[in-house]
Amino acid sequence: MISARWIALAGLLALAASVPVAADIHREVQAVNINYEGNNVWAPGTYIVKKGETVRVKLYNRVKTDPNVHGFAIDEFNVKVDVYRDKPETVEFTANKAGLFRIWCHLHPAHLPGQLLVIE
Amino acid sequence: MDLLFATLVTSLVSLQALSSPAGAHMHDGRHVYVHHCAVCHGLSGDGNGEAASRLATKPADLTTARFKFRSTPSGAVPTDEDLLRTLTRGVRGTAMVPQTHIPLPQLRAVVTYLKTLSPRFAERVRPPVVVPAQPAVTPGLVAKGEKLYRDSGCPECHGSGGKGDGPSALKGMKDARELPIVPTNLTKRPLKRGSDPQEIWKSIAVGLDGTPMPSYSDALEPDEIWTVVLFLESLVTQELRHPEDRLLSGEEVLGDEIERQHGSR
Repeated sequence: MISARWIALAGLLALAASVPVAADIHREVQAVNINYEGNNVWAPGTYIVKKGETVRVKLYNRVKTDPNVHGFAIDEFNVKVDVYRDKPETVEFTANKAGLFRIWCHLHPAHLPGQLLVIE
Repeated sequence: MDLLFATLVTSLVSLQALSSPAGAHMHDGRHVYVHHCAVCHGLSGDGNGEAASRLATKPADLTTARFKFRSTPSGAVPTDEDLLRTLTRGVRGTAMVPQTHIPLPQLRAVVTYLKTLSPRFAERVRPPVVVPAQPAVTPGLVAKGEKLYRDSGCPECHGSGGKGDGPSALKGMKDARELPIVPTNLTKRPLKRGSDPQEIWKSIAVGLDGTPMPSYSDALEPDEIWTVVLFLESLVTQELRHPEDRLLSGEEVLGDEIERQHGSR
């Protein structure tokens, strides 16, 4: 079972994802890699942005168990980042096509994937 | 006067401890550690011994009880036999040479002492993984292993040809101590934990704690891990797979012999 605190965290992060930011970045999202019940996953698991928006993703690896690095990749937008434990990373991309895209750990593909929904 | 009394009491307590078999065993282990291990691993075991700064591969921090070469699941402390195995066989390609010049009883004593360097050794020791019998090599199994190697993300670090030159490797990788680490070139032998196919199987199954190499026991079935091992073995040239080339020195031969005699494999 996912603990209530992780659900609350995912909710807060999803809320943060919906807040537009200034300058060239249209959308800022935070993603936290966590482990529950032995499964590694980026939380929140789903992100929604509009086509054409420039997205900045801040990535945090909070998994205390080994290995010490996890991947964050969205193939269609050439996103591929290695995120080490407690070493936040940032990646930016333009969501220039609509659709539903897989977010996955390219280092450990067996980990649970997330998804990015880009709407028109 | 108080100081004299305290010193006397301390000495008597120490003598009492040494007079028991367990106390003498521990004392023996500490003695061996101080004289043979501390120069690299440090007196406290934190990996910062006198020689550490001059070594390309930094000595393990023994205070974390996080060991790369285990037969136990990821995150678990190693068994006594795992530790003894590293002592007798060494870590190939590093300054951790086989300690076969030290008699076996003293090696066992130092294993006992090592377990005092971290409170994690108070945890319940989880049972080692069981390596299933190695299947016969067939083109079909090697091909399946190659597919699983790719589908499991191994090329990201080890490269598509297994040479340790994947995209993440080229960016530079770090271990849990934030020290630079290079993915293993799987086309070469010897490998650090040993080149036997069973050892490669264990590395894939339980991972190398403290490094980016995870355990694949949740992602791959035991027989699937074997197909990956067969694929990796197919990358190695014939001359490097020759048994004599796997053994670097007479010390390692002796280490293997100790293991055979005492069942530490």
